[in-house]
Amino acid sequence: MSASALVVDKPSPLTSAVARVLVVVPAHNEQESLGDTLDRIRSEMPETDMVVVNDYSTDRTSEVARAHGAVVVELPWNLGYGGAVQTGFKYAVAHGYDAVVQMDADGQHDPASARAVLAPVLAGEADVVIGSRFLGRADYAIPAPRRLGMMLFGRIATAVTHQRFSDPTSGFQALHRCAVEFFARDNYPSDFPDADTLILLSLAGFRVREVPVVMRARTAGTSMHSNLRAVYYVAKMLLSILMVLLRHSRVPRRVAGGAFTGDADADARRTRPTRRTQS
Amino acid sequence: MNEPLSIPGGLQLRTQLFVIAVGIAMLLFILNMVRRKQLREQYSLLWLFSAVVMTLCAVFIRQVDKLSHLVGIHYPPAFLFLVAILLVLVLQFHFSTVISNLREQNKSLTQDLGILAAEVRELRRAIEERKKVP
Repeated sequence: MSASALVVDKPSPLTSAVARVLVVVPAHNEQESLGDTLDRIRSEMPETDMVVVNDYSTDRTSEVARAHGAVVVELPWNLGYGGAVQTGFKYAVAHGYDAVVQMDADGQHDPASARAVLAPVLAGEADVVIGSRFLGRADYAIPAPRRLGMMLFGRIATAVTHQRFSDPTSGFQALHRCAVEFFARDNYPSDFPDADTLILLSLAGFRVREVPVVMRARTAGTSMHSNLRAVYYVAKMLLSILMVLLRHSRVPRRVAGGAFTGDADADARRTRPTRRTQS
Repeated sequence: MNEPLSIPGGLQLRTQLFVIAVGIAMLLFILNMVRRKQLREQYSLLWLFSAVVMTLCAVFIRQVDKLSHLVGIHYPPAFLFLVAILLVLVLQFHFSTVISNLREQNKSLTQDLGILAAEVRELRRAIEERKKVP
């Protein structure tokens, strides 16, 4: 089915003059690269707030983040990438931000591209914008197994959503408030958001778009994707996509004004009494 | 040669009584744990069910024997093992669902705790700043 059919109307366009934007940076042992990343975000987008979600680092990540002007949310134990990002989303919802830019701390994501990623969200043209390294320019070689995995799941996402996703694993994203609220609920994986998350977004009626960005090789730290986990990753992702499709009818839908309805159960609960009185 | 094993009553009465005693002891132990609130009612049900099944199997050994032949297992103890393994599997699965649920709640609490701690820190800092500027 077409995803756009579910969209009742556009979210209210956010003009950058009034929109409050939060940059969410999940970080796990990133003291080497975090300071530089934050400084560059600050100089690219001086009007935004920054929150670093420190996912139980053992180094000085928190101190570095504070010294470079970010609010730090410290997790008392390691939640994993998705859990950390979702924490940032919850923070954004709690503080009423209009939009979120999500970036990695390791220097892969170039803050110079952040404005381009955010722009369609502020213009009300998209609910979620994904910075794609394949539409743009990747300044480093991606390992073959990883590239293969990205291609496979990208294809699946394209087949289901009738939309091309060249880089479903990209953690360089901008999200409209409605999508942030959607993810702050129960709709975000705790490990690595991937094609499954894009399919979920699309089925829920959010408008997802890709823009080209520049990505670099990591400046420091260790990558979270190791080849050892490749088999687990492929199996888990296939299962996860299958589950998203099976849960389809229970996915809350994005509706008018950028808000979205509750889950299917809640809707059923709401409508049940009226049905009873009619019969 | 397999006569003492396969015919009803082949199992010794002594063995039967022993298993019944163990079953009843298990039942009492679980009930006592629930009474002392060391085991929640909802998680004790499956254990109670297991204990009851075990006891009933020992009491109605002839029927178990017949049932075992009915499903095509001609060595009744193997049937009992199958029942035992299935019960263990059900219990394990139950635990997996409980753990999944706990993990989800744990994640949620962790996130909220982290956010609240950050809020407190920010508020404290704001208060300190205010104190500095008279």
